[in-house]
Amino acid sequence: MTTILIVEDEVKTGSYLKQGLQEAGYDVTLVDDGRQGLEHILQQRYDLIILDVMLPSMDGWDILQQMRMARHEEPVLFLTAKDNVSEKIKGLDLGADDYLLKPFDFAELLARIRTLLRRNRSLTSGTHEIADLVMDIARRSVARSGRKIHLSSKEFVLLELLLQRTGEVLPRNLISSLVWNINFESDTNVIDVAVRRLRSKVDDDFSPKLIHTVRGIGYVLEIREE
Amino acid sequence: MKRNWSLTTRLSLIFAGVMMSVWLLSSVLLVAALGSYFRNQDQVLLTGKLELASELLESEIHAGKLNPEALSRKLGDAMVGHNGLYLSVTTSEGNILAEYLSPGFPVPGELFTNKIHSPDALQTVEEEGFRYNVMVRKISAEKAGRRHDVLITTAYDTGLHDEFLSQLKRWLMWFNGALIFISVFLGWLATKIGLKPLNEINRLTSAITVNNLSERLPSRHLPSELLTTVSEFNNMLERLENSFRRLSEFSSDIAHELRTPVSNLMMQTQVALSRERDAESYREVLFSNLEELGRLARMSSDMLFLAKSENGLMTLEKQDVALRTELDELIEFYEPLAGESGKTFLIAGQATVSGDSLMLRRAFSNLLTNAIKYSPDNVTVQVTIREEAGQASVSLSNPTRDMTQEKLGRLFDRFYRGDASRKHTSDGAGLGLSITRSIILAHQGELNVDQSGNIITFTVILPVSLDGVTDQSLSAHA
Repeated sequence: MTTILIVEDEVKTGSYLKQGLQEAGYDVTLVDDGRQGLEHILQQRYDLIILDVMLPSMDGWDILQQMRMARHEEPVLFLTAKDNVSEKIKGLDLGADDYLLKPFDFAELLARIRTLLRRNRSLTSGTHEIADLVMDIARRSVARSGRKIHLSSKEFVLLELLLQRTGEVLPRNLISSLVWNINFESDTNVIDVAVRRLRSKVDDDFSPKLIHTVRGIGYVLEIREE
Repeated sequence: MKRNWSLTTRLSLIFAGVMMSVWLLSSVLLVAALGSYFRNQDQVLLTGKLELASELLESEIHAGKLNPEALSRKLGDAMVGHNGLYLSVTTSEGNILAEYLSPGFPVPGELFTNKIHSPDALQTVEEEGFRYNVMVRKISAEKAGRRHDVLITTAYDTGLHDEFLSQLKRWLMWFNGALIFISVFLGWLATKIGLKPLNEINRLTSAITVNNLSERLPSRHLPSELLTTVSEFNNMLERLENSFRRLSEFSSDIAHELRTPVSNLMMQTQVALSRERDAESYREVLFSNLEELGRLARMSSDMLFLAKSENGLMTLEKQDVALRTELDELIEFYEPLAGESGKTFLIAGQATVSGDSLMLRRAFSNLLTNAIKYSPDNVTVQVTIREEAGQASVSLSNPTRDMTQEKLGRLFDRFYRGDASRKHTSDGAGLGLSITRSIILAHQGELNVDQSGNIITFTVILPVSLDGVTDQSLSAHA
């Protein structure tokens, strides 16, 4: 089972994070103090560490520095309420792997965690297959039940993303960032329209339906019992 | 050490200084003029006496009866009536032939004789603490083949004049001393009266607080020197009032904008909890809450962004940005959404600027979203990029619905939405254009809007290169 350490002193944030990640299938340890957090990191192997920046007794940057000095190379994801670019850069220079600004979408946190955990595994396979859908990345072709489906280039990238993350709920912001390189809050209706178009080509005439809306969160591609 | 002298003190002191200098100068001139006047008078007197004496002497010589005693008597007769006068006739060997000494002449006459060598010129001699003006004349007469060289010496005691002058000097000095106090007082009085309008302005100024920022200082009956100051001050008040009004509107807008979603959240949650429900209903409430929370989150990050940019904390990561590429990508992103209501984009031109591509993207993204939101169905949004004279411009034109001049002026206000009746949807708190403008300003550009007919055009003007603008200088304004 994948183990995650959360170092977060805000009680509610900590407990919700823990609950959310446990329900997503991770083995979660929650610590609310910086020094204690560092001890945990140095004593035990975790697959991923989530650090708050502002912590009692020792802040997130110091923990990161100390653990990297002790040659602990676990992926680290920072949570910060401070929208300060220089701080972000500092974090990444120190060897933080990713950061999220509070408030953040929980779905986005999940997606980033999965990305960090997957980092070492190779993903570039030539084809994706699910149900009767086949995507050939090299040939840039998509077919369902043997029928070729014509997609625009962005639709292709979008479908590829959904296929890569089969079963993962992808929040709209993550989709706009990964597919269109829009890295700021934008009109999320755009994603709805784009997914609707993709759906009309991929799902409308076929069964089972593959692309599903997770209300209030985002989209997921998976086979569901109907 | 610098002290903060009051204007009254300065002016009083300057006034006193000027008065003193003028008076000192006039005193010196007066004393000098009197001195030279007295000297002239002495010269006239002494010359007269010399003439008289030489005539007498010559006639005596011609008469051949140079009798010293008679000469002395005759001279005495001629000189009578003058105080402090001395006259002597001496031979070239220095023997005194005749001498006249008026009563009260303080020193013996021998002191002068043979001391003065240049004839017919007035000279001042000081002897035993007394001063004299002295003149001499040489007379040569021939009598029976014999040459008679005689020397006439006249002297006049300047004591009286000197005493008068020194008394005058003393008197002037006392007067000057008194004048210091008088002129300081007069200067103070004049300054008080002269600065009355200034004090009046001070009084009015000190009464201005945030509660009556709309008041202006009266500029009637003001001296012309103060008019500029007062009108500048009034202009400053005008600007302050505007900023202050915007600021307080902004705070009340924030409160209002926060209150709506918060009250929705509270109400929904309270209603949901008021009785038992099935899981599906709870899920509905949570979804709905999530939407409101999303709005709150976006609004707080937008406001933080604006606050930071206003404090000069926006950090630009400069690079070359091909505007056409960025806009093409944005249009590709927004095209499906625009297509829903039959809207299309038309783009032309190309320019490259130096700037932060992510920021610029965000700025243009807001403009494109606005164009889609506030245009009627089935229209074309025209995007034109130009580059000329070191400036790049991007203009977005599209037909618009019921845009009035009044609304146009308020477009850049925060939380302003073109369509007041528009329902609050999950996106947009009315901060988009403010954000766009703050990004453009950070790039030293301009964002303009104007309208002709029903076509509204937003124009972004950006300098092609951001010379001298470093990330540091942009972030160091705080």
